[in-house]
Amino acid sequence: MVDVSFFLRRDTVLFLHVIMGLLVAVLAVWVLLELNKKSSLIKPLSAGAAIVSWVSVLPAARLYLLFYPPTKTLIKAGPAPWAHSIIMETKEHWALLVPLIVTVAAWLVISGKEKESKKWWILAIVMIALIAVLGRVVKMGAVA
Amino acid sequence: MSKAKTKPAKKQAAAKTPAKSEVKEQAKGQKTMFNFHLGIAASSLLLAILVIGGELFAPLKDLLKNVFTHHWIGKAVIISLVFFIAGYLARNREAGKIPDEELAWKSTLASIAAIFAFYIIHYFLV
Repeated sequence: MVDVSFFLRRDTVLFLHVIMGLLVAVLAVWVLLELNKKSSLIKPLSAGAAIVSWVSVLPAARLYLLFYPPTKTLIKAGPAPWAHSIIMETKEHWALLVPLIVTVAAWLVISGKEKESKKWWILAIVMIALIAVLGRVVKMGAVA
Repeated sequence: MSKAKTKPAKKQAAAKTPAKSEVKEQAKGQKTMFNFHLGIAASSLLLAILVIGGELFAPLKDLLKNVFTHHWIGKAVIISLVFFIAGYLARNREAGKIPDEELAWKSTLASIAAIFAFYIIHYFLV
């Protein structure tokens, strides 16, 4: 019997959040590499990236809505309130655009516009990297 | 004799290979179930409006909270619905003055920049 509560714990959710974000970035890089080879893997990889990007919102939502508020209080009362007011606020809203960007990229690939999809994959990778950096800054703000 | 043979051959080849203008027309005519370019253009602009509007006009943020239990969930649900609904409704739309792809790209980048710039300005000025 699978213990569902395991998947709801803070550490598990944080792990899933990071792994899924990383997975979308890896899949996007993989698609970009396969685009040059005209590989048959491009379409399933693109669809996979889009699906993972949407599913990744679930652990992100649980982490942000349930486990972040105490950290937010700590940051706002500390010496670096901007870590929440600028960085976290930006991060939480930029993250909402990632599934949309990845879906546009995947849709372009699936509808045969591989060349046009390139800049959307690159944007997705850049956004995920920036979101990861912002996440790190928020954490530094919490322990400052 | 040889000229007579090559002319029809050239004609056949020309008939098989469509002209560039024809290819463009065919591409224009290709319809998909969604036009996600317009979907993301609408969603990204709406997200920027909800973010900035929600911070500057408290009743908007409260409305999102009251309807969706949290403003972030409200924004996520609304922009996702708009992405798919606008994408579906615009599936047969002919391109306007600004190509859909350009509109999508510029709207997305503008939204990303506007959100970040707004929170910096909001932190230091408000």
